[in-house]
Order: sequence, then structure tokens, then C-alpha cells
Amino acid sequence: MPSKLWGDPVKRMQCDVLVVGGGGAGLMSAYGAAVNNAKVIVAGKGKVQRSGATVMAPGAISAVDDRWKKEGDSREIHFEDTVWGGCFMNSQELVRILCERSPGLVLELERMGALFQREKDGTSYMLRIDGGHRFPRCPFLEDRTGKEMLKAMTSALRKLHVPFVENVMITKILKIGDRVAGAVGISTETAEPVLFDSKSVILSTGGGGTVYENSDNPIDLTGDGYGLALKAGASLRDMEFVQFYPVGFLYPTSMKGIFGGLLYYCRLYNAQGERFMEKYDPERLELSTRDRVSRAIMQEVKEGRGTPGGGVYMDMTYQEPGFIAKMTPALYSTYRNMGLDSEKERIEIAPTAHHFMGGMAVDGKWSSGIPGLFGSGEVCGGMHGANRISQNALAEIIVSGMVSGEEASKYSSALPPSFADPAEAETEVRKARELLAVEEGDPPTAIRDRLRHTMWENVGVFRTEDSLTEALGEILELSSRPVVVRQKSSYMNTELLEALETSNMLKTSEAIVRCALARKESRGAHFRMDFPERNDGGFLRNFFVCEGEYGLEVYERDADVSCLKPEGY
Amino acid sequence: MKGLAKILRFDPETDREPYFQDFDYEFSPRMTVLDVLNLVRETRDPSLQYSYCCRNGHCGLCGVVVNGREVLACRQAAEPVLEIRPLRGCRVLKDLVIDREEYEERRPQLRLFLERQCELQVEPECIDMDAFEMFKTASRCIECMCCVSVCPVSREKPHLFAGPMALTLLARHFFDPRDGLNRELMARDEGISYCIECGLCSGVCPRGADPARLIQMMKGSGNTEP
Repeated sequence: MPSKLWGDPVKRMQCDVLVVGGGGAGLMSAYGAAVNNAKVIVAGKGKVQRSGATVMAPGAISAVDDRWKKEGDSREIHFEDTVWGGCFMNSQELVRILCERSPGLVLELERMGALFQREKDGTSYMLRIDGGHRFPRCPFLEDRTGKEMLKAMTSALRKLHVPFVENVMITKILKIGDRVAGAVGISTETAEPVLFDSKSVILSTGGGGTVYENSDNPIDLTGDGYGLALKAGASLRDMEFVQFYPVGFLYPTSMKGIFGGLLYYCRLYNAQGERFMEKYDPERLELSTRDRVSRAIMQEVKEGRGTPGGGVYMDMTYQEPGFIAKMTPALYSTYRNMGLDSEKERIEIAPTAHHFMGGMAVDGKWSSGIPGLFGSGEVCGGMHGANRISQNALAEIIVSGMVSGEEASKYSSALPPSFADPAEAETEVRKARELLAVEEGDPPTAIRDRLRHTMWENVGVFRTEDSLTEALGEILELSSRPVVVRQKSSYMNTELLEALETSNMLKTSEAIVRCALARKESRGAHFRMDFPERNDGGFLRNFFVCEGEYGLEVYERDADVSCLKPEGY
Repeated sequence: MKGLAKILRFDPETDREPYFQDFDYEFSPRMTVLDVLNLVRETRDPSLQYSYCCRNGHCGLCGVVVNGREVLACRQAAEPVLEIRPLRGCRVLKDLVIDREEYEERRPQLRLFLERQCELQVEPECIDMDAFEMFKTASRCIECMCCVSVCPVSREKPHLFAGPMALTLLARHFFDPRDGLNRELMARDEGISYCIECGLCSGVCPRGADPARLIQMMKGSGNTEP
């Protein structure tokens, strides 16, 4: 490591609103704050348009509006679909705001530069329908709606001269007393500290799907926001609810868990050649709900009828030649690149961790309750309850982004400039240096591999008291092990970044397990083999975790059933 | 089966110039180039540096030159013998990671955002569907820079010709029927006329954004201008 004669002064930036995360939610938060006259900075671990989950979202944005809705549809029905899908675990206040504000923000995206698919007349939106919705109500663009949203948001923010501070991983939210005063981070390129003086912080760091062995998330979704929120004193809620999409690739290794196919166009077979969905849902077969298909696949694997890779076969060979290429061009090109001929051979697939319904608990202003700490997007919990219906994630991005931006701006405008303590920057660098000084221990990837394995096996599609207890033991053991960073340079040290991320992954996993242990019933995406039924009498409540004196503590609150109640309740 | 990966290494802190380093690895038919890089980093040399994020061709970070051809590492099947080097024509930050900031400096003058001239009347507004098709094609660009790496004119005239990626990004707004700026003039200003129409850029584009066709249409505009 080259030594410097004099250290550089600490890089220090000042703003009203600091947005952490450069995906769709973060950019929309920044936009919401900027157009409401706050001075904004976006800080992200990766690069804008190249990090986070939005960039790979193929879906659509749910939004009901008189100008394009189908006959019979309404925002009320969108609300009901979302709450039913969420099995009454949603914050109905948040869902109400989602349904009301999403349509206006779809149009705002077009004002920012996006264009969504239109019918032949050039005016009416082409609308998509997918699982959980009773009507087609979701505008989209080709199979890259998320990317189009990012393009529009990024261009609008560039026009407004909102600075992007890229390649900086925020490691701590700074407070003075109860209030947020800024944040400190570390450059992923130089390991140097960056200090932000800001009156408020919006966390938009996305979920944490990478804590699972099979996940379709990009590699940077390591639950950083959950770690930051807990450290700052905020609570997480509903962490036991993790959505698994049934069709993820098992090969190649680098693509493990990546979205692998559409259930409409395939049949699933176990290793004995049985079309096993006939047993689990003889009427709907592969078109059963996602959670049931995921469970069916894992049941087959558990009972010894899985493929060598631990999944089942997806068969599309019965389709007309050319059909798959025409209907799903992006997927088809992926098959071809992998040397797979979907017209001739079956492809091994397994369920994959897709979305975290849980996250930082927020109110209708997307405020965490800690003065100055807001959130947006997947890092927040409550919108989707126990299970997210399709197309609501992109809607959540724009609504939570806009509202959190507006509210953070309003909050900040009443405050004098904020100053964080520069000694905090020194502390963070010292911690990084201490990490580099460790000589004996496990490299971060080794710890991750074990964590991801135990999460998949014990906290995945199926859970039991025993499996969860085993996972908790493993997580706590891994958390206590020294991490060794084999690469000692401070310049572009990926392993150092991974070490920092790993502690967030462990914290996220622990939160999931603690909530999953508390919920002794099955609901939505959370399935307990020892409590296979839903129990509205005992569990119509949400579990929260926060950092306590002796580690994570679980507490509970009655679920929000202010508008819609389950039958017979 | 044993595979061999020759990887071009360079650490600006310690190396005078780039050099090839050989790594043998366990080759299996279903590996991607990214798998090989991950394997080398994990089992052989944790200091090997390359970028990727989404693992499936969306983030545009993992563009490299493999056996002489620009590809995304995540979507390229590995071969038993691989020569992997960083994209050409850019400064290398370390090993396979290129400096994208050089290119970013061009961005502000391209005014890559919607510049409306007339007020919006009705929403959603009516869009010319032919122009929309071209807008969609241009919008497929993931800014991986494979096209810049392969473009002979970009290398020969780094200052006079903005390159296929910049022109593709510009094309999104050129074909946006709502946009009121004179994008034709901007394209000319960015040196579009230097394009020799060799088509190499479209050949390597992993997303089918077809820079060559977009450039051709912008060049010949007049009749193609929506």
C-alpha cells in the first residue's frame, strides 16, 4: 500500500436531503425532494442505472386511472387486490396512498422522459395483467419497464443538476441527539471516508435477496438498509415474509437464481418424469399461485424426486418451434447463450428469492419515526403485507419515492443547516483498517456461502421451529467469527466491500429468522410446516424487530385492518 | 477438463504496464466467462478486479474483450481457452475495470433529457408509433461500451467522433416525438459524419440497440426525421 506524505482532507458534502441508494426508489426520492426545493445528493454503493434491482425489472406499474382503466376497475379494487394478496398484513394506510398516487406518477414519469407502450391509436396505454390483479391495469415498456423508469429519472435529475456520489457505501447514519445529522460512508474505490452533513436521510437501498443461495437479485442487494436502519434505532417489520419466484436457473453458477421462465409457457416435471403439479393443484397446474408452485417444487426435491441440481425440469419442448423465441425474446437469447435449446431439452430450475415484503417500518409520510430518517422502495416494510402481488413493486417505487422526497424536503426546510461530527469519518476508516489488519479468520465469501446455504435450507420456502433454530445458531456463530480480508490494498478492494456487506447480510438474516420464529402459523409467503394453517385468531398482527440492549428484540402490534377486514373477523 | 484463462492484469499502483497472467481452471460446458472470473478470484487470486452487478445483461458493467470479441462476461459461454482483456480505448482503473468517467464528461453537452417545446395538453399524449419504434430501439442501450471498444473511428478520432454509444443515447431523444431540440445539429456536432458505417458496433451490441442503423438514420435524416 503506497503511503501518503499527508492525508487528504476528509471529503465532506452538505445537503438538506441525502438519498442512500441509486435505484428507482432512490432516484424518485431525489426527484421528489428536488422539485420541492431541497438540496439533494444521491449516494450509492454502485453506479446509477447500473445498480439495484429496478434495472432488471421486466414487469409493469400498477395504476388505475379514469383515463385508461378497464370497465369495472377502480382504485378501490386495486386496494382490495393488494390487501387480499398481502393476507391482511399490509399497512392499509400505505396501500391507500399507493392506489391513489401511482397513476399520477406514471404520467409524471412520462413528463420526466419515459414512454410506455401504447395501443395502435398512439394514445391509450397498453395494459398488463398478472398474478393477483383482477383487471389489466399496468402500463409497461417491452420487457424492460424498470430500465425505462431509470432512464427517465436519471435524465430528469441530471437536468436538475442533482449530484450522484457513486461508489460510496454508506456505513452509518449519524445523529445528534434523536435527530439525523448526516451519514458517513466509504469509497468502494479508494476506501477513503466520505462525510455527509444532511438534515435528513432517505434510505432507498433495496432488499436483501442475496442472503439466499438462490436469488434473482443483483449482487449488491445485501440488506445494507436493514443494517443501517437498525443501527440508527429504527424498527423493521414483517421480515419473515420473503417472496420466492418458482422459476430460477440452477446453472450456470453465476446466473443461479436468475429469473428463468414464465409459468404460462412451460410444464414442470420431477426427476421421475411426473408432471407433479397434478398432485398439488390439479385444476390450475403450473398456473397455481407462485407460493404454491414454489412449495410443490421444494416438496418434490425434499422427497427425493428432484434433479441432480436440486430442482425440477421446466419443459417447453411441446411448444411450436419458434414460439418461445417470439413470446420471450430476452429469455430465449439467455437460453441460447447458455447453449440450451429450449425446443429440444428441458431446463433445470428451482424457486428463487425474489422480493422482501418486510423492511423498515414507516408511516404514511414514509418516515421511520426517527426524526429525519425516511425510506422508500423495497427497504421499507408494510406495503405488501405477507405477499406482494405482481406489478406493485414498481408502483411502490414511484409512490414511496415521491412521498418520502416531498416529506423529507418539508421536514428539512424548517431546520438550520446540519453538521455531522468529522470524528465519525475517522472512526469508520479506523474500522476498515482494523478489518484489513485481521490475519486469521474466514474470507467474506466463505461466511456468505455458509449463510446463504443455511438461509436456503432452513429459512426458505419451508420453515419449522427446528430449522429456524438451527439457522439462528449458525447466523450467530457466523456473526462472531473474525472476517479476514486477504487482499490488503486500499485501492479497489472488492473483498473489503464484501466484508462490510456481510455484516449487513448477517443482521438481515437474523431479523428474518427472529420474525419467522415468532409467527407460529402459515400466511402468504411464510410457510411453517409445523403450523401449516393460517390463524387469524392468533396472528392478525405484525412482528417488528429493533436493536435492543442484548441484540435484536422482537415486538408485535395488531395488524392494520382499518378499512378491509378478513371474513368472519 | 482443464481450462486456461489468460487475463490481462494491470494495477496502476504497482505495475509499469499491463501483462497477461495465466490461470488454469476446471472447465465445464455450462460456465459463463463471469463464472471463470469468479472462480479465479475465489480460488486463485482475490485481487483480480472486474465489475458486474446484475448477472444477466442489464447493468452493462461486465463488458470485456474475450478471444478478440467484445462481450458481456455474464452472458458469454466460456471456452476451454480464454483470453480476457478490458474493453479497448479506455483508461484501465485496474485489471478489467475501465474508467467510464472519461465518457461521462461528454454527457452534459449531449443534453440527454427530454426538452419539450410545446405545452402538454392531454395525458397520456398521442405518440407517433413509427417514431416510438425507433425510440424503443435506441432505449435498449445499457451503456456497456462494447460498441465504443470495437469502433475503429472512435479509436482513430477520439475527439472528433463522439462514438456509437453517445450517438445511440442521443438517438433516444432524436426519435422522441415530444422532443423539441435540434438533435440533428447536435449529432452533426458530435461528429456523426465521421462514421464509416462498418456496422461493427451493431455486431457486438448485446441488447439489439443497433447503433449502426440508428446512426445511419440520423445521418440520412430529412426523410427519416419524424
